[in-house]
Amino acid sequence: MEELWIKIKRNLARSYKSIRFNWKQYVSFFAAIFLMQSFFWLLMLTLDAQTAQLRKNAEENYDYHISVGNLTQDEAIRLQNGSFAVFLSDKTYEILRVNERQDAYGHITYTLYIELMGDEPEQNLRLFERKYLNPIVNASARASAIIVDYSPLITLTEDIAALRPTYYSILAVFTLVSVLVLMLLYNIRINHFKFMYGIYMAFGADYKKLLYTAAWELITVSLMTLAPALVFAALIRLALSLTLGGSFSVSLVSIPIVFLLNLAVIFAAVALPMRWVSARRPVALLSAEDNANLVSSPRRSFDLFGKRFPRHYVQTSIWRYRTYYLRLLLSSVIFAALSISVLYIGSMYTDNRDAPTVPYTITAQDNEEGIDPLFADAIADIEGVERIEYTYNLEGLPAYSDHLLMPSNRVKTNAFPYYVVSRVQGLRAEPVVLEGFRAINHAAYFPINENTIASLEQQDAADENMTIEGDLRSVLTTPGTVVVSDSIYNSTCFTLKPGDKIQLAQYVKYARAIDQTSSEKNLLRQQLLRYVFDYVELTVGAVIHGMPTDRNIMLGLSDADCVSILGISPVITELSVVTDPALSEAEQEALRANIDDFMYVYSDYVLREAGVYEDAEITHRMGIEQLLTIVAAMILIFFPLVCFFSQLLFYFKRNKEFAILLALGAVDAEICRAHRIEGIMLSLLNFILTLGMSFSLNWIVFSAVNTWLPSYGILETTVRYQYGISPLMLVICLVISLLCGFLSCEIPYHQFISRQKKLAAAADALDDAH
Amino acid sequence: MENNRIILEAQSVIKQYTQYDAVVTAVNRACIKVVEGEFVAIIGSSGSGKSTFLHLCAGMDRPNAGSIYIRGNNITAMPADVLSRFRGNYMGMIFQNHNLIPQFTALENILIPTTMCNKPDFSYEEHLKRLIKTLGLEDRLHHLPSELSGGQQQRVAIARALINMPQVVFADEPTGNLDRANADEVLELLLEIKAQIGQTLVMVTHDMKIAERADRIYRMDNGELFPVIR
Ligand SMILES: Nc1ncnc2c1ncn2[C@@H]1O[C@H](COP(=O)(O)OP(=O)(O)OP(=O)(O)O)[C@@H](O)[C@H]1O
Ligand SMILES: [Mg+2]
Repeated sequence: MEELWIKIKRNLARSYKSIRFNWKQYVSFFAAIFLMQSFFWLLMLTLDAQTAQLRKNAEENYDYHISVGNLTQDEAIRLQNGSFAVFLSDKTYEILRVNERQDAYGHITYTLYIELMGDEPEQNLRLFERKYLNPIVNASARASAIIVDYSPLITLTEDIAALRPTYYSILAVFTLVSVLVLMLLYNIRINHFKFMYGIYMAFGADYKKLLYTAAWELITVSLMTLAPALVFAALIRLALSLTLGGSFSVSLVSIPIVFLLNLAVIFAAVALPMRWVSARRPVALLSAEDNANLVSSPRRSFDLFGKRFPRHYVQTSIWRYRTYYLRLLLSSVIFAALSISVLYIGSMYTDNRDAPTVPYTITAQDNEEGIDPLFADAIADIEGVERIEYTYNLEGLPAYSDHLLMPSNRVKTNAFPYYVVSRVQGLRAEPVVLEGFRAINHAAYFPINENTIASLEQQDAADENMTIEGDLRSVLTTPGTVVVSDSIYNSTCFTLKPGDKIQLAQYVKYARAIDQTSSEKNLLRQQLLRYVFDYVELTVGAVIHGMPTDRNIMLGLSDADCVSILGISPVITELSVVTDPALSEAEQEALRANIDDFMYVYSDYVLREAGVYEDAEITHRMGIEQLLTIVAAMILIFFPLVCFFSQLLFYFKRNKEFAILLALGAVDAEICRAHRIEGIMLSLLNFILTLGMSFSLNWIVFSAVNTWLPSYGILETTVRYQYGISPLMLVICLVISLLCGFLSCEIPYHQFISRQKKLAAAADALDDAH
Repeated sequence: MENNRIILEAQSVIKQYTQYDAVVTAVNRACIKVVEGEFVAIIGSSGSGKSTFLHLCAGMDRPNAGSIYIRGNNITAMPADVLSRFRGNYMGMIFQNHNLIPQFTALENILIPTTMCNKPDFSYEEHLKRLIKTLGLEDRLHHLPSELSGGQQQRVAIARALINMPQVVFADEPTGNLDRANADEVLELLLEIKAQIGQTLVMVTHDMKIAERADRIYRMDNGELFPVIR
């Protein structure tokens, strides 16, 4: 143990010395590692803050663990009686408060607020449910109407645990990106110091030695930046907490987590480049020094006769140093693109946050009649309600018996491949698909009536991505006319137009049963092969473009068609009240009071609350958007630094070249112009590459969030995002390109010239003295 | 001769460089056998392939054909990592153009082999002191290579090659930058250390006076290696 400690100390001391004397070489690593650690800290501190915030919210706003609502007097009394016990130690729960609600017909219902006893109420929860709550719920004729709500006090542990996967997956992505970035930087360094590694190898360094030498240096750097990064991140977090009113807390567990991740990143980042170095022959590495370092062998000399000095010289030197420039460009492009996609993620986050939310849902206790459309109308008219989303009893239709046939020429080539099947291959029998059509999985049916039309139109008005082509009301007047959405998992798959004919394949009987557990694509194949269908031709009356859609396209039929085609008369089973997420507290209260007024009349409806405002408040206080902006800005500031120091080293090594040019009679101004041209060419190249890279990276992020992740059930499809690059991002691309390409050529060269002039002046002074 | 161990053996080694459309054969079927403790000199005109051959023998480069044995180990077949360690343990190299690391001081340059390859049961301090003293580097230890004269750089490179007490030392014109007196002094030093630890010395040189001190001389001619009979 002691030996290990001595070894560590010795290695650290050695690396520290080498870093101190060659700090310029390490500036980019200091910056990169500082940045990486700051991100790690910021993430962990945000997790800590959010945990603290959840806890604070629960403790300050709630005194009860469970509320049981919509109880009859009998039920309320039974529950109240259960709380009495002879011995205090036998007491499972206590009733804190009882709320009474009377409806228009004089019926009274009760809500009981319950506190579970004991230090760990989670343990009493099961007992409470089993012994007291479930018997009451099970005995009730209107079991579904009893509303059991668990307060954050009891769900706290779960809520906190639920945060972890998100944070840890972001941490994982961060880690991967850090490895990539550090590897890029290390590659630049290796390119600069090939010669040194060649000497190391000539005198016996093997892979392990090289790896450890490199890793120790970076570990030393990271030890030096660990605390400053923590302070920096804590200051940012504190500033956010102070301005947004969120909690602030630092948990000690994150220190080892960050440090271990840090070590892992360092080893992962140097392992590959060092493997590459150690496989080279020392002579190949050493000759790099003779050939002015960074030059790739020209294979053939440039024909310099008759060439003009600055311009052609630049062309040849860009070609000479192509590998170096390529590396530099590559890393600059990756950094800019990373920063831009962080900004893009930020904009997606904002879109998501500002998307309408559903704070209340209303269900009918009597499922036969459902909810009165007049009631729905009334709720829709309440101020603050953006629209109502309707759930109908059509949702219960057998999912895997029917499917749709789309005209082949209306299916986009990039259509989500999971669902679109044209012909089934690899199976013995050819399935039945009508000529000129392609089959997709079943649709989500919904009835078209004045209520749903109003809802769709309001959604269309609020959502800029959404457009409705054709006349929704044509569905009401012409039988067999339908409304369809054109997307699957938020990506447009069909180019349907009003007037198109599609086919609904309805299950008649089966030849063989299908395996309901197989994947969706497989299910469709099996259906096609084993079922017998009736085909109903439908005319597209209107197409909804750009609507958030999950795995099924929406198919809207008139009430009459629902009866005649599907055999079900539509009944509203649930209303989702959609509101603006940014309602003020007063507006929220007014809205709630208004809804309660209507509920007073329709007493057999049950209102459930989702607590979205509270959640929105908590996330707002975390300042995720601001954090993302800060992260993007840090990446942006950081890269030019790396670029600059890399160029400084590069020019340092080219000093001889310039000195020789000067000695051979080139004029300073000409060399300077040569560099300006070099810089402009680099900037241009940089700009083009950065733009391309940003578009691609944003596309990956967009597809992932919009389509891929939802298709695996990881995210929801409630918001449909927009893909693109904003003007701000364009400006960033431009600025980065200028900084990296132009200034990083200009400044180091001027440094060289001024040094040269100083030397010359000193020499003159000496001459004068003699 | 028969009870002496062969420490270096090269068997028809070929090294070619392809440059765009021309092929340069730098070393052409060179064979050599060196016995433990021997001092072998390689002479030849400039560009004849001496350095290339020395690099091949020292395992710094890989030949296109042929094999090279050091202490009976075929270094041409060794994986890069094993070869690196092998170099560190048994071989020392003095490069023609010194190849000192410009950002390291003289002392740091000298100590590179010791940090790269920790030889067990070996204490450097005594040896280092003696080397520095003999090479006259005492007051130049903390200078950067750019602050040293060509001859001083050469001597730092020599110290670096000898610090690990390698069994075979490959020296590429170690006296190239030195005047007569200094050249002789350096040679004496190399021979002295050689005598102390029974080192084998393979040296490329232009200097016939130095070559004459060798046990055997080879001549490199256009990539081909011939023994010189005296
Ligand atoms: N990396 C390389 N690529 C292409 N050709 C090379 C390379 N290194 C050496 N050569 C060629 O190989 C030949 C032998 O070179 P080498 O350096 O071995 O000569 P030398 O005998 O050491 O000469 P000198 O006495 O001048 O040092 C030369 O013609 C040289 O041009
Ligand atoms: Mg040579």
